[in-house]
Order: sequence, then C-alpha cells, then structure tokens
Amino acid sequence: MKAWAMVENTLRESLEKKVLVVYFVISTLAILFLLFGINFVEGAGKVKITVLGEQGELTGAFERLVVKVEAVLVRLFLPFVMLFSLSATCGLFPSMLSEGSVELILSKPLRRSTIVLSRFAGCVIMVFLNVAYLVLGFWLVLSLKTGVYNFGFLWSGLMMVFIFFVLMTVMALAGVVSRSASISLMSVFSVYILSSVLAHHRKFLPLISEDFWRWLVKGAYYVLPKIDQLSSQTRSLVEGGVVDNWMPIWSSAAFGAAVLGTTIAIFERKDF
Amino acid sequence: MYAIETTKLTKRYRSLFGRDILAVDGLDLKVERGEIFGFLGPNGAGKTTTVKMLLGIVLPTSGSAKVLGHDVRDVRARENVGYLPERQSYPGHMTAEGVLELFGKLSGMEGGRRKRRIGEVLELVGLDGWRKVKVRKYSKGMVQRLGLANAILHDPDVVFLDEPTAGIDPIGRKVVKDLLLHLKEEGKTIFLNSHILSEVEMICDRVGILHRGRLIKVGSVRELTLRVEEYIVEAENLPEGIERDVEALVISCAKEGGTLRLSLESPEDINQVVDLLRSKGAKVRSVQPRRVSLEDVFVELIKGEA
Repeated sequence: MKAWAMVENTLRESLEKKVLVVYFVISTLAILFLLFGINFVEGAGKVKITVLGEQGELTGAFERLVVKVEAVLVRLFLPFVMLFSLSATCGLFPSMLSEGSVELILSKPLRRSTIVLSRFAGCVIMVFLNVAYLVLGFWLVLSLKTGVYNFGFLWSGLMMVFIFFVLMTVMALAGVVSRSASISLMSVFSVYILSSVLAHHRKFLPLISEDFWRWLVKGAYYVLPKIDQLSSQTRSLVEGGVVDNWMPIWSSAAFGAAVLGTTIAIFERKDF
Repeated sequence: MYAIETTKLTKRYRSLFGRDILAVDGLDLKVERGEIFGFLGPNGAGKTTTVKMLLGIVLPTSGSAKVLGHDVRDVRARENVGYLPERQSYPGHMTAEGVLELFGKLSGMEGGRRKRRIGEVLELVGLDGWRKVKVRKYSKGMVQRLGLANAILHDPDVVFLDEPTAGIDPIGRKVVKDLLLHLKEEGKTIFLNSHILSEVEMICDRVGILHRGRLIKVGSVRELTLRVEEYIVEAENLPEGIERDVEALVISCAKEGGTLRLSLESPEDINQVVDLLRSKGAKVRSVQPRRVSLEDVFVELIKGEA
C-alpha cells in the first residue's frame, strides 16, 4: 500500500502539474491529424495518399502499403514520443528530492529502494498510459480508415515504453545525484544522442587510428542502450517482422537495470 | 527500553576538497518514554543532523542510535515516529486533506482510521476549515500547523519537532504550545529542537545542550536552572552592616532591603548564615536557592565552551 501511495502520488503530481493533460492534448492533436489530415484511396493497383490536401501515389498491394505508412509513422513519431515523455517526467525525481519534501518521505517507514522504485514506476505508468492512448488512437483511426487491422502496430507502443524505461533510468540517476530537472534532461539527451551516433560506429571506426579510442567507442556502443536499433526493430515489428537479433533488447535492458541499481545504491547512501 | 538511545553517535561530512566537518561528535544520549526532551544549541551545533540521523535521513558515520528499541537503519524505527522538519515543503497543488492522505498512507494507516484521524488532527491544529484549500494559499504559520498535523497523524509514540515555532505568529505559537502540552498529557515522547528557550523551559522535562557537535550538558530544567551555591535569604530586622559579618562565612554577600544575596562555597554553609542572622535578632522568612533562566544557563555554557 505504501509503495502504491508513492506511485499514485507521482501520477497525481503529473496530473496536477498539467503534464499529463498537455501530453494528452498533444497525443489527441496527433490522432486528430491522422483522422482528418491523411486519407488513403485504393484503385487500379495504386494507392492515393492525401496528406493535408497534398496528393501522392504509391504502387503496390493496398494492405502492404498501409503497413508501410504505419511503419514510417512510428519511425517519425518515436523520437517525439521520447522527447515529450522525458520532458514530462524529468522534474518528478528532483521534485520528490527537494529540500523539505524528501525529509518527510524518508522519515516514513519505507525502504529507500521502495521510494526510488515506486517513483520510477509512477513515471513509467504515466508514460505507458499516454503511449497506449496515442498508439491505440493511431491504430484505431488507421484501421477504421483503411480496413487494415495491423496488430503488429500495437507492438510499437510496448517498444516505446521499453525505450522510455531504459532512458528513464538515466534520468532517475541524474535526478538523485543532482536533484535538478535540467541536469536530468541534459544527461538523458546526451545518452540518447551518443547512443544514436554510436549505432553507426562501424562506419566511422576505420577513421580512428589509436587502439584506445577504438576500444572506447566499441565499449561505449556495447554498454549504452541501442536506441537506434530498437527503433528499427519497432518498425520491423510494425511491418510484421520478428525480432531476429535480441542483443539490442537485452543489452539495453541490462544497461537500464545496471543504472537503476546504481541509482538505488546511491540513494541508499545519500544524506539529505 | 528507552524511546531514544544513542551511543557514540557521530556524523562527519566530507567535502569534495577533503575538508571534513564534524557535525555530531560521539553523542551519548538517552531519552525516556513519555519524556519531553529539549535539544538546544546554537546554529550549526548539530541538532538537526542528530534528528535526521535518528530518522534515517542522514546516515551516521559511526556509533549507533535506536528509536523505540530499533536501530535507526531499520525501517521499523520509523513506524511509530512523527516528524516536523525545520523546513517543510508540500506540493502547492495539494490540499491539507490530500497531504495528510498521502502521508497517512505512507505511514501505513488504513482507510477508515486515516479518514478519522485527518479530521481529528486538522481540528487540533485549527485547520479544519482549510482542509479543502490548496497548500499554496496557506501562510507560513498554516504550513507549520499542517506539518504538526502531519507529524502526529498516525498517533506516533515519539515525535521529533525541529523548530516548531520558528517564524510563526503568537497565535500559531499558542497552538503549538497547547498541542505539545496535549501530547505530553497523552504520554508521548517529544524530542524538541528549539531556539525559543522560554518555551523549552516551560514545556520540557529535560534538556540537552549541544555545542559544536558535543553534548555539553544534560539534565532536568530544574537541575540546570537551580544555583545551589547561590541563595536568596529574606528576613526582617536585618541589622545595619550585617553583610560584613555574613561575608566572613560566604564568598560574597549583597544586601538589598530585607534581602540578602549569597554566594556560598558549599550549600551547607547556609545553615551557619541562618544561625548568624538569628543570633543578631533577624527573623528569617525564607531561604531559597537562586534560580536562573534557561537562557542564562545556555549563554553561560556556550560562552564557557567558546
């Protein structure tokens, strides 16, 4: 009950700070854009796609093309979903740890690990609710408009929440160490950008002559979450593919678990 | 079992640049159950750090501390404890009821009891008319009262209050004082950090004075404020120049009308003084050890240490 009270408080705080509301409004606008802004017309082996009045033509099977469009949409929306999710939750750890607030929580009969995990769970649940709303809304609109019910599209929601989960661990760690929302956000974006750059390490590794730096780049690639590859896998799942390489998933999960463990270990030893 | 017990409790803060700050230095302290213990000391003496160590907010560097028999590192040490921090911050969007709901749940209170207690404590601190108002609209004194309500919500056996009357008006102070007396009547143990010595003197059973992290004096308010080597003798028919005769028996003697102020080497010397006064025809009305205020004791001790 105590842990759930912490989770509930995180959700309430997001709601009261209008974070959930703004997120919901943005998601609704995206769904409405899909509802009124994009149209699919099938005819003579071609599909006419209208985006805000602009027409384009694609050749191929209708169902296949709809799925392709969905995959592109996911690829386009994923960075925005991450951006909004991380921005919406970046202040939640620092606010809990602010002076005068953390003392009251720590004086309650709760393990410090429970405090971190329940706050973390609150952030993930909040993002899950929003992503679920957005993805289900997209899926429903596209399915009703085209008659193509691609259940693979729903995987994108779970993958987005998973990616958020991994990135959120960085924000929790930065939040516990610095108690600053801006530092949390800067840290997580650094990891996000670095991981995206490292995804292409094979292309620029030949340009590095010194072994030490080559080893460092390779090491960083394997240690950091594989956001880029996870995005590609999400697109593949939407297109009906399967996960053929589990490395990006387990290594990202391991990164998340290690960072969350470190966060708890630091929080357990920190004086407030 | 003591309500609070510390043995060689020490907290040393280490800065990044290697400069150590010894905030609490080998504190040995025992507070009985049902006692109101005043914890005094100048700013930076280590009072708040001590309270935070007792609540598991700050981790001790060495030594041990127990609250209600449980080591402070154990979650159970905080099950039956209430806390009013020196600085408290509640989310401005929450109402008093919402704040107490949250902390009631975090204290493990069940729904029915929680609801009932929220009503009771809000009435006790005079905020029952404000229960649905958002905290951001509260004055400083009201936030302090809400903090008090929060500290006693789950009816804890031990309550830690860190500067409960700081920055609040006389009416707010009265509410706090009455509440402390109410808790005292209920047999709660109160650990009170305060700068307002007159209040401590009025309410506390025992007092500990902390200076530079060390406990320099501990005792009952009476023990600390009583000067057994200094007496005030009230008498009638004191002959002129009697003080010169008395001075032969004591360290010093001052006469003001019908009153003699005496400083003695030993409390037993007072008998000889009384005998002398009687032999000179004076009628002794009262003999009392001189009492000083807690503030005088405090200043004297801190100056002595400095």
